[in-house]
Amino acid sequence: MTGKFARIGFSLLITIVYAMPLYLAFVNVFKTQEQITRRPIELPAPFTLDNIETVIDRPDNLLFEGLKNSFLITSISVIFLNILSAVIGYYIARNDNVYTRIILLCFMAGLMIPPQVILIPIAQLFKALGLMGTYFALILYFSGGGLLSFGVFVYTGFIKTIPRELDEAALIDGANSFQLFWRVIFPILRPATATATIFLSLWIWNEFLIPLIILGPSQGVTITTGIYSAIGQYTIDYGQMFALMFLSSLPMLLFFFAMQKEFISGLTSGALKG
Amino acid sequence: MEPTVTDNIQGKLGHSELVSSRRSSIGMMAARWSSKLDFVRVTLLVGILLYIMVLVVPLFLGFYYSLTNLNPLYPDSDFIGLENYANLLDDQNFEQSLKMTAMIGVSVTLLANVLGLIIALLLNHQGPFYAFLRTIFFVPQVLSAVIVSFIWSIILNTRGFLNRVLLDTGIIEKKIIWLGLPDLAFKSLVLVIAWQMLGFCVVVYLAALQGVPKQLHEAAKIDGANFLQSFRHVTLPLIAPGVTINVVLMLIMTFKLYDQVAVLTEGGPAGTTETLSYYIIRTGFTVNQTGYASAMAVVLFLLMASISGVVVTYLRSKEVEH
Repeated sequence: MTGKFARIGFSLLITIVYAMPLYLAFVNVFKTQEQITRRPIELPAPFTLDNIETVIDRPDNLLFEGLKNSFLITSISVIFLNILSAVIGYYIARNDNVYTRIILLCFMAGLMIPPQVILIPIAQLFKALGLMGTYFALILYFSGGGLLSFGVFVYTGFIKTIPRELDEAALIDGANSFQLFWRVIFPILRPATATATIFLSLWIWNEFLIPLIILGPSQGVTITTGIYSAIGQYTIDYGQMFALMFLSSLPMLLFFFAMQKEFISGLTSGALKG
Repeated sequence: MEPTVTDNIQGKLGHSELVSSRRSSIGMMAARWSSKLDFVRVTLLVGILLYIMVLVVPLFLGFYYSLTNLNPLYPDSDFIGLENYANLLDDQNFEQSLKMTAMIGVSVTLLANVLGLIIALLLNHQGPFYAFLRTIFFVPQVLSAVIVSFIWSIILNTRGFLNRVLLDTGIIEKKIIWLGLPDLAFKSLVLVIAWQMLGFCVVVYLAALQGVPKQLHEAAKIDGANFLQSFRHVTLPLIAPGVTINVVLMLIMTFKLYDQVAVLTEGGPAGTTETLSYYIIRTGFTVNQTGYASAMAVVLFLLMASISGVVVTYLRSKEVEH
C-alpha cells in the first residue's frame, strides 16, 4: 500500500518538475508585465487578456499572416507528400525486384541526411531557377526531400501487409490503375495515412531553418520564422511573447489533443517497427 | 535451281515475317507503353524526379562546391581542389564546433535515455492518473524547438525567472549568468534539448515496455532475481529496439542541431556553443563562403553516415526476439 502511494507521489513530483516550463509559458499569458517579472510562478492576479489582445491587434498582423502561411504551406506539402509516398510505397511493395530495392534504398538513405548538407546547394539551385524566396520553392523542398523518404518508409511497410488478391480482384473487375489506387488501395491505407499526416504536419509546421533560408528574411513569414523575428524586437515584453507563443502553438496543441491516440500509436508504431 | 527458289521464297517469307513481326512489336510496345503510362507510374516518376532534384542533385552539387571557392559576392569561382578541406584542418572554430556537437550529442543522448527509461518505468501503470501524466510528457513534442527555446530563454536569461526565484528564496545572492559563460551556456543548452527529447524517449520506452510479457518477470522472480537483475536480464534486452530508435533519433537530432543554438546563445559566448550545423549555416549564408561551408557539409555528411552505420549495427546486434 505504501509502495503504491510512494509511486503516485514520486510520479506526480517528477511530472510537476518536468511540466514547470509548460506551466510558466501558459500561466504568464494572462498576467500583467509587472506580475510576470515579480512573481513568475504565481497564478494570475489580476487576470488579464491584454497580452492576447495586443498580439491579435499587432499592426503587422504577424500572428494571422504567419498562421495563414504556415497552414497553406503545411497542408499543400502534406497532401503532395501523402499522394507521392503512397503511390511510391505501393509500387515498391507490389514490384519486388532489383530496381525497386535500389529505389527504396535511395529513399531510406535520405532519412538520415541532415538538411544542412543540402541546404547550401539547393539554395543555389533555387536561385538559378529564380525560385528563391517563393512559397513554391519551399513546398517543392518539403515535398521532395527527406520528408518524402519518411512517407515512403511508412507506406511501403504498411502496404506489404495488405494481400495482393485485393488488387487482382479489382483488376479483373476492369478497374484502371487510377481507380484501383484511389477506390481500392488508398482507403485501406488509412492508418499509414494518419501516421504520415501527423508527423509530416508536425515537422513542417514547426520547421524553422528551411523557411528561414528559402523564404529569406523579408519575403514573408511562417509562424516559426515570424516568432523568431518578432521576439528579437521586444525581448523585454514577456507577456506579449508568451501570448504570441501560446496562440501560435494552439493549432498544433488542439490537433494533438483531438487525435491523441493516433499521435501516440503513430509515433510508437512508426518508431518501434523501424 | 530449286534450292535457290525455295531459298528465295523462304527469304521473302522470312523478310515479310520479319517486317510484320517488327510492325506488331512496335505496335505492342506502343500499347505497352501507353498502358505503362498509367496513374501509378506517372506519379512514381514525378516523385523520383522531385527527389532527385531536391536531394540527390544537391548532394553531388554540394560535393562539387566543396572543391571551389564559390562566393555569391564574387562573379567567378575557381576550382581549388582540396584547399577547403586543408583549411578545415587549421580552422579552430571548426574544431570547436565539432567538439561541441559531439559533447551535446553524447550528453543529451545519455540524459534523455536514462531519465526517459526511469520515468517510463515509473509511469508504466494502468489508470487515468498515469495516462494523464504520460500525456504531459508528450506535449513538448508538439511544440516547435524555437518556441521551447524561447520559453527556456525567458527562464534562463540573467533577468529571467530562474534567477528571480533563486534570489527570492535566498538560495543565491547574486544573479547567475546561465547563458553567457561558456561552461554554463553549454550545460543550459544540454538541459533545454534534453528536456524536449526526454518526452520523446518516455513515449517510445512506454510503448516498448507494453511489449514485455508479464510472465517473464514472474519467472525471473521465481528464479530469485531481484528488481535490478530482472531489469538487466529481462526488460532491457526486450526493449532494445526502443533503445535503438531513441539513440538513432538523438543522433539525427544532434547532426542538425540549429534552432536551440540560434535562439538561446547564437553560438556564443565567443563561439563556444556553436554546433557544426550552426557553423555551416553561418559560414554559408552569413559569411557567404559557399565553397568552404560546402566542404564542412561534406564532412558532416560523412560523419553522419559512418557514425550512424556503426551505431545501428551495434545496437541491432543487441536486440533479441521473444
